Amino acid sequence: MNVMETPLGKMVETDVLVLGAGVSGSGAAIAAKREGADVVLLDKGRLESCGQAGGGNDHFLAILDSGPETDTCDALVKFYSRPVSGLTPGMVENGWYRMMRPVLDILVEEKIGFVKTEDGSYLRSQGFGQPGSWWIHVEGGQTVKRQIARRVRAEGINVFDFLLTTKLCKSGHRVSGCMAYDVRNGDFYVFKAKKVVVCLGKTVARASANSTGNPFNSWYSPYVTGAHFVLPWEIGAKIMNLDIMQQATLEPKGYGAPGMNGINNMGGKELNALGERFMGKYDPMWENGLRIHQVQGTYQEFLDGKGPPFYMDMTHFTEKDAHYLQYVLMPGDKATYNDWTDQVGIDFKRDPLEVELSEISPDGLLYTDDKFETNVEGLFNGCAFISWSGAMCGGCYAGMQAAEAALKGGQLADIDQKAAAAEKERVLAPLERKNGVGYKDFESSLRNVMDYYMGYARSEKGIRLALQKLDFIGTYADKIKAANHHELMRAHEALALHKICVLTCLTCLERRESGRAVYRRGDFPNLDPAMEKPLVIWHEEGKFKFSWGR
Amino acid sequence: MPPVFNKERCHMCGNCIEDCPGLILEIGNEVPEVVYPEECWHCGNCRISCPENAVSYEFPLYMRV
Repeated sequence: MNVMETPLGKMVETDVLVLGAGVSGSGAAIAAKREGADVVLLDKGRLESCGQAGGGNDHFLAILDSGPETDTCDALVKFYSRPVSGLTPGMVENGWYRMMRPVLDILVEEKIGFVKTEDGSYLRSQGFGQPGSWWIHVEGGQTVKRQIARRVRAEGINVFDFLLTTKLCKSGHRVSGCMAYDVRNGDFYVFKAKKVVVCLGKTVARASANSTGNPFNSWYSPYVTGAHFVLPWEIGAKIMNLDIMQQATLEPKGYGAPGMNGINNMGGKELNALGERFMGKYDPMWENGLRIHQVQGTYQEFLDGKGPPFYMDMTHFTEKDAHYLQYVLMPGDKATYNDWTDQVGIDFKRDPLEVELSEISPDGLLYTDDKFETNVEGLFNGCAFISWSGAMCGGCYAGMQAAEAALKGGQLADIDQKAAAAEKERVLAPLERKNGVGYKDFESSLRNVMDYYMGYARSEKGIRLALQKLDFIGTYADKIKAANHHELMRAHEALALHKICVLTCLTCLERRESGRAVYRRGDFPNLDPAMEKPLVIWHEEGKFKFSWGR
Repeated sequence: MPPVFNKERCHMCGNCIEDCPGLILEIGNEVPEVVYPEECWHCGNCRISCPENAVSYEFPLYMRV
């Protein structure tokens, strides 16, 4: 790594630049470093606590080839590489399955608390409609990120905490680095790299809110607001499935937290307000089926007037299982889980847990080839798969590919100094504005539109109205003011959030069917078999383009 | 509003401030100040970072109904 002082700020040169230090970026950085590349890793937060896993995680998905056909690479590929997913068999096999063992080795070395059975094998459960028991249980999951961070720092990766990436740089057709600034003090940075791996988080928060109305009280990290898609989009990257990959789940009523994997796979029963267990109508595996079916099913029950309330009933569990779920797994998924259950008086064994449909998170997939390179030369995607395992394995693979490409003859490119100066001015401009709109006002306006027109029920008219209103909100983008650096950071998060909301709406407009996404369309209520394909979007000379299929 | 800092135990080491993924904490008078309580994710990182066990949580009313 070379670091130089320039009139604009620091300029840093490296082989592989990894953006985002969550588990995906951490995996990418470790893998790239081990390939022999010089690696720089950036995050606007601190490595030890940033990203989704900063809140903890209680399960790690792994195929272990233990014998059954359901515990094989083929089974994983068959489950995840469906035509509409946008994932090729090669991506799943090489980018996920083949990285599981090396990643597990790293995690074991860092003493992640994988739970073992009496015979010494990993305790695994079957969940989310998967054919096999793929989920390894984790004890002490609330500190997994710190343990992974220890490995990252020990590997000699150059970590820059507290740097928010605002723009990717391009030289000709290829990515050449990025611009970023220190969220604590506004110091500006330019990074030049031979290859870039973007790992800024594919599941986007704060586009909507659950019943509490607070978007920061969320299932996934509220500090991930779409830069993973928006920054590559701006330099020409294609994005897939911003419609059908939107995510939702069930949350404990009032407390934005994950945990449905454990609750469902250990045998939790979902009940509606009439006390009926209904998930059998929506998935042959009942509550342990596809997450999307649980969301769609609960919403249908809501439309039928059979809730709220809805409950996850664990009262039939043994004392041991109920205790294990509530006091070992759940706090691994969110460390304050039982601080909350204590204060609201919840005991899984005694009472059914009231749950609610969560906020809806924009999500999708950057279009990549089998080596995880996007259609922008030199830009690799570390966030291809779901879950801690998918993120870390996919990140590792992307990092490996980026390093290999960088070391095979990657070149640094000059940065356009005028463009860098203009970007610095743009980034810091909200601090100079006395008049304008605060980030809270800007962002809550976004949520107003998304919650109202882009919730669980949508229509062409509603999506178009959402776009009109988002365009109107967009006219305030260069009027956002910030009183301090914290507000400046939130302002840039809000700007990225706005753009991903627009792209999500544009994508959803084109999928004129229901059934493949967490939401339904009243104007197209049925599944259209012709749309069993990923929907790819991109822009050319400012014009929005889309196509069906990879 | 979460988190709550025990001023008898807190030595103002600043770990929680650095490790908060939302950067919502700042140095206060005797304990860190939760400057942006509504932006708390309730992730628990502040308590995990605290060497003195000085952090507890009080959830707001709207999260308890």
